[in-house]
Amino acid sequence: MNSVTENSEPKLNYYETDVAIIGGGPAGLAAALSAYKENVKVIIIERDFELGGILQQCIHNGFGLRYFKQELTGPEYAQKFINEIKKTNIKVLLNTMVIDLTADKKITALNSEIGLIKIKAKSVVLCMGCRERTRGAINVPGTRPAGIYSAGMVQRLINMEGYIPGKRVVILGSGDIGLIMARRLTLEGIQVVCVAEILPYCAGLVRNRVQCLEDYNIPLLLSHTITAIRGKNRVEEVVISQVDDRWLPIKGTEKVFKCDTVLFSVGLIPENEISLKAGVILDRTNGPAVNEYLETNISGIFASGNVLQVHDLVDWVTIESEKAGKNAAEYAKGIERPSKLMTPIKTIPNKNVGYILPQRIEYVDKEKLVQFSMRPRFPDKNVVVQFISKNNVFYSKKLSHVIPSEMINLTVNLDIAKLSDSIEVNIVPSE
Amino acid sequence: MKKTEKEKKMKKINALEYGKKIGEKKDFVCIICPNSCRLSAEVGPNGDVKINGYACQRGLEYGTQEFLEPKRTLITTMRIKNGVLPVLPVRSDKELPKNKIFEAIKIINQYEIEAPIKMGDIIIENLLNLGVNVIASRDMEISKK
Amino acid sequence: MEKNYDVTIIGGGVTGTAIARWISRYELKTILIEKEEDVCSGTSKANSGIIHAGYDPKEGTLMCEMNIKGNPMFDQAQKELHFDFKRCGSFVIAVEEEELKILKKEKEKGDKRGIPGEIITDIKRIKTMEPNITDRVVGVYYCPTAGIVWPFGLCISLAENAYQNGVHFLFESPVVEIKKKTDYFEIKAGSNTINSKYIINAAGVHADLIAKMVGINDFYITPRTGEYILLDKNAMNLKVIMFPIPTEYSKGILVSPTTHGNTFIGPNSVLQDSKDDTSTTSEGLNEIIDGARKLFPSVPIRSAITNFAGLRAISSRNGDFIIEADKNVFGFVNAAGICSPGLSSCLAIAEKIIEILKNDIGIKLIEKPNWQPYRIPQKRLKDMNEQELALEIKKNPKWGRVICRCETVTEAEIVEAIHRPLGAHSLDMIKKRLRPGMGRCQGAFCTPKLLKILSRELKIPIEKVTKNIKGTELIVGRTKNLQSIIWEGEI
Repeated sequence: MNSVTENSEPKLNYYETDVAIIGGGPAGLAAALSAYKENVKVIIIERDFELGGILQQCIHNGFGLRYFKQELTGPEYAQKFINEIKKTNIKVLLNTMVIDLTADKKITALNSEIGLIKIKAKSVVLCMGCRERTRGAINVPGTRPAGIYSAGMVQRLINMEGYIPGKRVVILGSGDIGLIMARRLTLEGIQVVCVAEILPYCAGLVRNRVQCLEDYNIPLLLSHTITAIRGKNRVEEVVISQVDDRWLPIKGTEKVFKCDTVLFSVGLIPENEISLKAGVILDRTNGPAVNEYLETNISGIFASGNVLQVHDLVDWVTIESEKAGKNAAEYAKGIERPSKLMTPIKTIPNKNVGYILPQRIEYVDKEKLVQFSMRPRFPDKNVVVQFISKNNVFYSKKLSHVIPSEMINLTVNLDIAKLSDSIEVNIVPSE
Repeated sequence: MKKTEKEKKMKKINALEYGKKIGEKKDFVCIICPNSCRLSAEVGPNGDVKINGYACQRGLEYGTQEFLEPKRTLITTMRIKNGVLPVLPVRSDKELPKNKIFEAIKIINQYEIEAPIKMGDIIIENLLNLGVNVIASRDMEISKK
Repeated sequence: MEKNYDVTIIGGGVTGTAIARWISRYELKTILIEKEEDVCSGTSKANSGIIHAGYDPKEGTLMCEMNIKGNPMFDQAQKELHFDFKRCGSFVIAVEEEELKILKKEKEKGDKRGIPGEIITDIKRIKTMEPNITDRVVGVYYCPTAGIVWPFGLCISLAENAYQNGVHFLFESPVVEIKKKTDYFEIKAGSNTINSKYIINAAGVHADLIAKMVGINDFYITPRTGEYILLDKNAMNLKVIMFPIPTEYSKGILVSPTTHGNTFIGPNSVLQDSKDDTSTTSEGLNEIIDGARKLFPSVPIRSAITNFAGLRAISSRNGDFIIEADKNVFGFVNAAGICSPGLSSCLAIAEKIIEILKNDIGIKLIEKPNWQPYRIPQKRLKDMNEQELALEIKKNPKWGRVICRCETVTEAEIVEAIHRPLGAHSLDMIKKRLRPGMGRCQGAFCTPKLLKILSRELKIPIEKVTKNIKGTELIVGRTKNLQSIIWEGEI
């Protein structure tokens, strides 16, 4: 099926495919299955030893409430898709790391058994997910001893390898990852001293605050941050200070907490190194700027999941990736799109909108439904989301509350005739 | 709000049977939906349970359960022999009382199962006689090593 | 390791390893003793990585002499030893008319010393050479012979070549006592005792304490901390090292490219008492951010990936180098007070030490007939084309397994680094040799894999794998009474 040509001396392997999916986590799995349903050849390239991506280490539940109407654990959610993949002839390359991607959709990858792999694809879906923000990236001063980790790395060590990284832990960041790890560490007999959060409110779901912190009497210090890490060979203590409304530490509020481990859960950053190699242009989301087909500025290269925008619910990753996969398949099949607009319509995130996706509308359709994703910059209650073009609010939706940790997804009907070359999106208090 | 069947049923619950005392109070947040209603629970003079602050049926149910006998899903890992990983993620198929979680963990930590395993396989039946099973969260194949 | 040596070098930074490499040419039984688990663990680990042109040091100082001599030596050394070095040039930047006078003064110093350089006031030309420069620039003093070096690579290649030529190395052995016997020194280092005819004291910020052990009290070393922030690759893409107008005692807070495409800002300059405190502080980090903003108002701090601090050894002899055979304690040679421009000078310092051994100590230096100046570096994926890589994977499948995604480093390279002479046996040693842990993910992806590789190759349980010296183990145990294991097989 796939053309594998082996040169006599070096180990060079060539594959040709219709759709290449880079990454076999929730985004890649959904994109692959969706592309497959369009009767095209699909390859998934995954660097880990199995499919499932980050879900395999997210052993807690809360996944699938929307997509499956069930409350599943991360591995259960992944397994459902993996089982579907097994029924297809989608080619899966495991233990394979993509090291290059070109604008003409040529992928270079490495695998220890197969060798150096060159894949020629008609279209590509970028599904590489995220990496975590680090201590260094947020400039926490102090020493650099053993015992400083990102929450995700510890999650993998405990949940998949069975290794304990420390005995007494301070966690920075009350997003869901930090909260989940507070509970997980506690259930494995590791003491969690406290969770510090720079915002004045808990960044994760209320449910997680209750079931991960309150259940175990783990103190949550809001408007606090770590201002120093101390210890020579191993972490010995951290200094936690209160912050003002500009997130600057308030002198005199320093408290010392003895610990041997610090977990940083301070945000996710889309992992777009490969995208940049192909010349993909990124947006303020740190992910590619895309059009309504989830296509990047490079025609035939699509993106979905956390590499495109950091998601809070895997259900949305699946729905977004199904679209991207289908679009990539149709691109590979050469299916015609409506004619391209002379000037793309730019979407502009304005009042209390941190970002909006897609960043541009490129094709003329008299009317079409487009799904928009966005996040507010700050929390608010009783608001209305407004889409404005030609000075006219052509779409609005009331929401009872918005918070940066929750993505807003809206399906909006666009009548091209009613649009100028830009759409402004606001989240404002409703009257 | 009109009294529904469920609410009438709630009236018949006796908090004293759950170890609560007359006059005992608790304030907490509902986790069912993003409204995060502030709930308060109180045990009345007849041992009846009064819940205030809910805006929907599910909130009332959650509030009552959380006050009388908080329940949680148990999520952890279990040792597995000959698998592609040394530990298998497992979960309880139903919620169990929050105050039994640590006891349940102790039991699970003493188990060792063997690959291959399929998602949903029942590993421990009727854990602690609570009518709850511990099941596998994923398939795990035999390691090729 | 043996008991009796001709020469013992105390300290494995760039000074000590350069001296070791230069001494290795002669028939002198030599050992280098280092208190950490690896070379390049003190000041050499945390500095600007700059090979200065040489206009800056005060006239008549040893620093000046060594910098001027040392800078040109890097080309030959790079050919022989293979480390990352690039003569990218440097700008001293004037942002006010007043400051042009200072540029002129610096150039005068440089001209007098024969250092190539020019003052450029043609803003267009400056901007072509460095598009990122501040709009406020009125002129620069440009020195094309300034360069950037990868200090880890330099230090490790010096050490490997010294080892290759017969120098012994002893790690995790801090010197605690030195007894002067009639014609040798008895050195207690860690749990070892070594007898050595001569000692070369290259112990960085601790050099005065070492000297005291043999009764030398005429200098002391004050540590001066310098903090840095490292920015991600492609955050700035600078072509040239950027200096501000120098102050009386320091070259100021710089913004500089690194040999790997990163950018760093720093250092500040704060005297301190502790010889071991290399913590960064919020005041220090803010100071260097402010300093960097003077040269680049929109310096992208959001692209920071790590911050670190290093201690410079400031000698009590007017802050100058102390490179001399001690007048009273025969056989004891100091190479102390090596602060900036220490890195630029290290090769010249090594040469000077040889002269001191010959002329002041009176050692007859017999050249080894088979001294090998060339070091064979290990193969790196980043240097291969696809055909070469495909061939390597066929011979050794570990070339097909990428362990560090940020810097694209394979299992084969890591295994090689572990088994080379002076091989890596800790996470930091792998980091210094190959860079896993220095990228934007700061080890989040590679660390679980590196733990397994070190366990497997060193045949130790994962709980014994350290970040650097003993006591820096990462893993404290296993969940659920899982057995402690030594990793076997694939990663």
